[in-house]
Amino acid sequence: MIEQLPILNLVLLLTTALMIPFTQKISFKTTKLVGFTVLLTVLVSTLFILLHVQSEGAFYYHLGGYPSTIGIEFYVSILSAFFTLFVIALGTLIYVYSTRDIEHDVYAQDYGRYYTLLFILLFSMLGIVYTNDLFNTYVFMEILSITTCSIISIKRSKKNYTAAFRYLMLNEVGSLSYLFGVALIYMVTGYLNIDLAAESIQQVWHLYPANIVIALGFMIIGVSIKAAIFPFHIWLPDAHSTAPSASSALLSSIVVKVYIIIMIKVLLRLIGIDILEALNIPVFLTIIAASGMLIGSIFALGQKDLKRMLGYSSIAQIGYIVLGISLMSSLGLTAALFHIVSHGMMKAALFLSAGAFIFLRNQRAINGFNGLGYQMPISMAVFSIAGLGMIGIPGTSGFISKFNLGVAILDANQWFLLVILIMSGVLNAMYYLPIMINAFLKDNPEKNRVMQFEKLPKVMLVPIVVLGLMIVLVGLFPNSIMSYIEAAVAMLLA
Amino acid sequence: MDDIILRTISRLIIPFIEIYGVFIILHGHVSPGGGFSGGAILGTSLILYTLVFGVEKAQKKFSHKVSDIAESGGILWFILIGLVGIFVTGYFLTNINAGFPIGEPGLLLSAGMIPLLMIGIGIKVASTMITLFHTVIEEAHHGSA
Amino acid sequence: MKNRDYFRRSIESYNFQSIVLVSMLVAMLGFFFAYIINGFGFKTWLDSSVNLATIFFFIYRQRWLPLLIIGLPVVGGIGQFVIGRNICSVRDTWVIVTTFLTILFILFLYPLAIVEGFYFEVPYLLGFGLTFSIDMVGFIMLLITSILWFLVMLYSHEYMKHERHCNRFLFFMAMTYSAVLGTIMSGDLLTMFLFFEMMTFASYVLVTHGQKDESYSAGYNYIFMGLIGGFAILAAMILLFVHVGDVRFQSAIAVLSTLGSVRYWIIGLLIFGFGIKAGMAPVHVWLPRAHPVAPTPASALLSGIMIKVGAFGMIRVATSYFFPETFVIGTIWETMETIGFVVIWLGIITMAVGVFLALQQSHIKRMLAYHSVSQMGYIVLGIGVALYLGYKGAMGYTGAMYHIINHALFKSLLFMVAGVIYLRTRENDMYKLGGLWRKLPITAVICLIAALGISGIPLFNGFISKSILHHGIVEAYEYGHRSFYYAEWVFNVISAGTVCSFIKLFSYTFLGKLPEQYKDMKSQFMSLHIPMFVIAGLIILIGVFPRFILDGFIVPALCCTTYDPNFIQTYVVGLAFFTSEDLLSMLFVVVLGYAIFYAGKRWHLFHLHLPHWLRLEYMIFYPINRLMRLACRFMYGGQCRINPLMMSRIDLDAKNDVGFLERFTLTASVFNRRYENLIIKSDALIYTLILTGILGYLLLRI
Repeated sequence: MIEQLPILNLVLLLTTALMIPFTQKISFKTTKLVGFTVLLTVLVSTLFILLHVQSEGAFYYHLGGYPSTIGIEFYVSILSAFFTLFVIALGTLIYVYSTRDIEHDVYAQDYGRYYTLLFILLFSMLGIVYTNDLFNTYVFMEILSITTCSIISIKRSKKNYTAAFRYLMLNEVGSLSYLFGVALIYMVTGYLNIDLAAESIQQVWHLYPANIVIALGFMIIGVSIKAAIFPFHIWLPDAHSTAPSASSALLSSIVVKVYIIIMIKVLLRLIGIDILEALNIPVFLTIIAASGMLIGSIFALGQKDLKRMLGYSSIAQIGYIVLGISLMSSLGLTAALFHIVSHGMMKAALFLSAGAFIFLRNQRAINGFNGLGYQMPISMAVFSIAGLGMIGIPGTSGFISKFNLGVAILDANQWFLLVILIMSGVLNAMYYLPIMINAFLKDNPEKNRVMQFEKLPKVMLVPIVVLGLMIVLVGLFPNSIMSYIEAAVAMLLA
Repeated sequence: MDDIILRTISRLIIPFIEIYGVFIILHGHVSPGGGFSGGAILGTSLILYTLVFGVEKAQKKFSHKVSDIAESGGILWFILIGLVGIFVTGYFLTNINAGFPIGEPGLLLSAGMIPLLMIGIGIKVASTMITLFHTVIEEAHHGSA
Repeated sequence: MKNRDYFRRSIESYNFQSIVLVSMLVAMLGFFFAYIINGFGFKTWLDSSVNLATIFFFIYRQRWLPLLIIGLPVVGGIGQFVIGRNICSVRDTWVIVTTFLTILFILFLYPLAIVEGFYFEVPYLLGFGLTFSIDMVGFIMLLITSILWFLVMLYSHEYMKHERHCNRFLFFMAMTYSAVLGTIMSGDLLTMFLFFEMMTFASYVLVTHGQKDESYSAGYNYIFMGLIGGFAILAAMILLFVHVGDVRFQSAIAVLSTLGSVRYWIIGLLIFGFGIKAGMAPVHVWLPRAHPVAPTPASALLSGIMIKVGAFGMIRVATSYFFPETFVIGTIWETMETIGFVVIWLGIITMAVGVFLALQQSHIKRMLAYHSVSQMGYIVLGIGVALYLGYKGAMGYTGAMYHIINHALFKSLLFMVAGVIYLRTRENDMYKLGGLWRKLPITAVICLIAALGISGIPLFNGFISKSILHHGIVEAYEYGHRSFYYAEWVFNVISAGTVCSFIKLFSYTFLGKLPEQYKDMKSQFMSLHIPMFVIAGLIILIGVFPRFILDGFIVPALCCTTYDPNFIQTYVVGLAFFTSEDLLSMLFVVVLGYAIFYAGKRWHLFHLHLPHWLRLEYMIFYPINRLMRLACRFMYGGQCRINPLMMSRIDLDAKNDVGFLERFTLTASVFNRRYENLIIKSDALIYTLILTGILGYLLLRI
C-alpha cells in the first residue's frame, strides 16, 4: 500500500485542483478548508514514504505496469522522498499564509483560479522530483512553467504582465533547450529512462562523444535558465517582485530548487562524474556559480524595492548551491542539498514577512523601514532571524550550510572560492543589516516607541513564526536533516 | 457576422463537423487522430458557431457552468480510469492487466481503456478551446465597450 | 512614625541596597581569597567541616555549571525586561542580584579550574556539539569580568536615569554578558565563534543606543568590522577543520608543522580576527568611534572587558593549537617564533598609534578610547613575547595576563569618572573644564588613583604589570632579535607619553580655574561612587600586594601551559617587584612624561592634528576609493540624469567624509541604475551568445 502513496499524492493534488472551481461556487471558505485538508494528508503521506524508504530502501513504481524500457517509472529514493516532504511542507505553510494574503492582491473572482494553479504547481513539482524518465520531466517542467507564469500574472497589472511574459518566453526557451538535449540523448542511447540511459551512455561515450556533449550543454543551459543561475537569471527580479507575496515565496523558495534537483539528476545520475570531469564541466559551473554569488549581491545593493532585492539575493544564494554541486564531491553535494533546504526556509520566511509588511503598512521601499520594528515586531523579528541566516551567523541554518560549503571547498583545495564565499557573506550583510537596524533602532515617523504586537491575521502570522522557529531549530540541531541528506548523497554518488 | 449565407450554411454544417470530431476521437486507437485532434475539431465547430452567431448565443449553448464541468470532468474521468488500475493490479493506468477488454487490434471496440481516455481528453480539449476563444472575445468586447 | 518611614525608605533606597550588596561582595571575595592562600587556616577548616564541604562539593561537581553560568544573565535579562515594564527600581535591583549570583557561581568553579582540563560537552548542538572547558586562564578572565560587570551594573542605575530605552539597554547588556562568559568558557573554536558573534551583535545595540546620527555611523563601522573579524575567524576555523580535523583547544602543532604555509594563514587570520576585536592596529579604527557615542556603562565594559576578550582569544588560540602537548625543546617552536615577531611589532605599533593620537584629543572619552588602544598594544606586546620566545616566553604571558587584569580595573574606572563628569557638567571637552576638584572632590581623588594606576607609578597596579612587560621585552632582546632594543626604547617613550596624557587630563579637568557655569554645582555623594571606591581599592591593593595575584592566579595558569617549568620557577615565581632598576626606570619615565607635558603646553603642541589625508582608513583604502570614484564618473559620463544629489556626494573632494562602505554602496547603486535595465532587455542576446560560445567550444574540442 505504501508503494502506491507517491502516485496517490499526485492524483490527490490534481483532483483537488480540479474540484476547486466547484467548491469555490459553494464558498471560498470551503475551498480553503478542502485545500488545507488535502495538503495535510499529502504531507503525512510524504512523511510515511520517507520513513518507509529510510527503513526499507528505495523502490520503483512503474506506471501502467510497463517495464522501464518502454514505460514511465517513478524512482522513490531518499532524495525524492526527502525533497517531496520539503516541497509539501513549505507549500503547506505558504498555502496557509496565502488564504488571507491574496485578498489584497487578487480580485475576488480569481481566487478559485489562484488555488487551482497552486495545486497544479505542487502536483508538477512532486512529479518532477519523483520521476525517473527524461521526457516525463519535460512534461512536468512545462506544466510548472505555465502555471508559475499564470500565478505571477494573476494580479492583472501591467508590470505583472510584462514580467510574466518575459518569464514565459525565457522559460520556454529553457524548456526547449532541455528537450533538445533529451532528444539528442535518446538518439544516441535509445532510452528515455534515466537508469537505462546512464548505463548506455557509459558504453556509447566513445562512439558518439559530440552528441553527448552537445546534449549535456543544452540540458544544462536549459535548466540553468529556469533555475535562475547567473547569467540566465534575468527574468527573476521582475517576476519575483511583481508577483503576489505568496507566489513570490513559492517561486523563490521551492520552484527554483526543483530545477536544481533536475540538474543534479542529469549531471550525477545520467552522466556520471567521470565523464563530467573529462569534459571540464565542473570548472564551467564553478565560474558561473562564483560570479553569480558576487554579482547577485552587488545588484542587490542598489535596489530600492524590498522584493526586488530579495530576488537578487536569491540569485546569489543559488550560486552557493551550484558551487556546492560543481565541487563534485560528497561534501560539496551535502552542503548544496542542505543549502537547498535552508535557503528554502529562509527565503520563504523573508518573502512572507515582506508580504506582511505590504499587507499592513503597504511598505515596499527599503528606506521606509524606520521604526517598523516597533509596529510589527514579530514579522520583523522573523525577518531579522532569516536575514542573520543569510549572512551566516551561528544559530541559524545558514551558518551550517556556509560552514559545510567552506569545508567542501577547502577539501577540493580551492581556497580562492573560500575568499569569494566570505566576500559574499560580507556583501549579504551590507544589504540585510541596514533594514534590520532601521527597523529596530530608528524612530518611525509617528514617533511612537511603544512596542505593540501587530494586528496581523493569525493565518498569516502562524506560518511566519513557524518558519522562523524552523530556521533556528535546524540551525541548532542540523543532524536530523543531515542524516537524510548524507544518505541521499551516498545514493547519488554510488 | 450578420450574413445570412453564413448562418444558413453553418447551421447545416456544424453537426457534421461534430460527428467528424467524435469519429476522430473514438477511432484514436485505430487510425491517426485521437483525443487531442478530435477535441480540437469538436471545439472548432462551436467556435464557428460563435463566429457566426455571436458570443451571447454561443454562451447559451456552452455556458461557463458547462465548461467548468467539462474541463474538470474530463481529467477526473482520466484519473478515475487510472485509479482502476491501482485497485486491480497496483499500478496506475494499467491497461490489459486491469481487466479492460482488449479485443482484437483494428476493431473499434479494442485496446482496453484507450478509447475511454480519448473521450475524456477530447471533451476537455474541446471545452478548453471554446473557453479560450470566448474569453478572448469577451476581453475584446470589454476593452472596446 | 517618622523614624519608621525614614527607616523603610532608606532600606528601599538604592544606596542602601548597593552598600549591602557591595559589602557582601567584599566579604565573599575576602573568603574566597582566604580560601586560596589558606590564610587563617580557612581552607583546612572548610575541608574538615563536613556539612559545608558536602554542599560545596555538590555544587561544583555539577557538570552543567558552565551552562548555568551562561544562562543566569539571560534569565536576568529577560526577567528585567518583564519587570521593567512596570517598576523601574525593582528592575535594577533584580539585575544587580543576578549579576551577583553569577559571581557566586563563578567562584564555585575555582576547584575545577585549579585542576586543569574540565571539559563539558553539549552534544548535537550546531552539528558538532558545543564544548566548554574551564582552566585557570579562563578563570582569571571570568573572575575579573564578573566582578567588573557587577560593579558597572551598580553604576549604571544612577547613570541610566538620564537616558531612554533603559529596558533595551539592560537586556542587551545581559545578552552581551552571557556571550562574553560563553566565549571565555568555550572549549573549542566553534563554540567560541558562536558566542563571539553573539557578543558582536548584542554589543552593537549598546553602541547605537543613543540613536543619533554619529551613533549610527559608529555602529555601522563597529558591526562591519566585527563581522569581518568574525568571518576571518570562520575562515581560519574551516581551514583548521579541514587540515587538522578537530577544532578543540588542544595541541595540534604536530599536524600543523607538516602543513607548510597553511599554518601561517590560520594563525594570521585568527590574529586578524581577534585583533579587530582587541583594537590592535591597524584595525583599531572602530574603537575611537564607538566609545564616545556609547553610554558610559557600555563604554566602560566595552573597553574594560570586551576588547580583553579579543586578546584572550588570541592567547587561547595561539597557546592551544600551536604549543606542543608537553614541554619539549626543539624546532617545534619555530612557527611561534615568526608569528611572535610579527605580533610584537604589531603591539608596538598599536601602542605608538594609540598614545600619539590620544595626545591630540580633547574629547575625554575619545582620548580614553585611544588609550585603550595603546594599552591593548601593551597586552599584544606581551602576547607576542609569550609566543616569540617559545618555551621561555612565560614572562610575556605573565605580563599580558597581569595587564589584562589591571587595565580592566583602571580603564573602567576612568570611564566611570568620565561618566560622572559628563553627568554633572554635560561637557565632554576637557579644554572647557577646569578646577573641578572643589566641586567633585571624591571623583577627583578617584581619578587621581586611576591615573596613577595607568601611568605605572609604584604602589599602584600599573607599575607591576608594566615592569613585568618591560622584563619581557628585555628578554626578547636578550634571547632573540636585535631589533627589540629599539622596541624597548619605544616602550619607555610610550609609557612617558601615557604619563603626559594623564597629567594633561587631570590638570585640565580638575585643576585650574573653574568656569563660570559650574559655580553653583554642589558636590554630592551618589550611588555612583560606591563601585568606584571598590575598584579604586582594588587598584591600590593590587599595587601594594602584587604577589597575591601572581602566586594565586597567574602561576597556576602558567603551569597549564607548556612553558619551561624551570624558567617559570626561577624567573616568574622568583620575581622581585620593587627592585631599584624598575623604580629608577619608572622615575625616568615620569620625568620624561612631565617634560613632554610641559613642552606641549608651552609650545601648543597638543593642538596639532594630523592632516586629513593621513587618516588610517583613507590611506589603506585610498586606491580603492579613487578607483570607485573613477568608475562612478565613468558610468555617468560626468553628468547625472538621475540623481544629482547622490552624484555630488561622490564627486566632492577630500572634504567629503563618506566612509568606505557608504561609497561602495553608492557605487553599486549607480552601477545598478545605469546597467540593470540594459541587461534585462538584452536577455535573449546573452543567452544566444553564451550558447553559441559553448557549442563552439565543445565542437572544437571534439
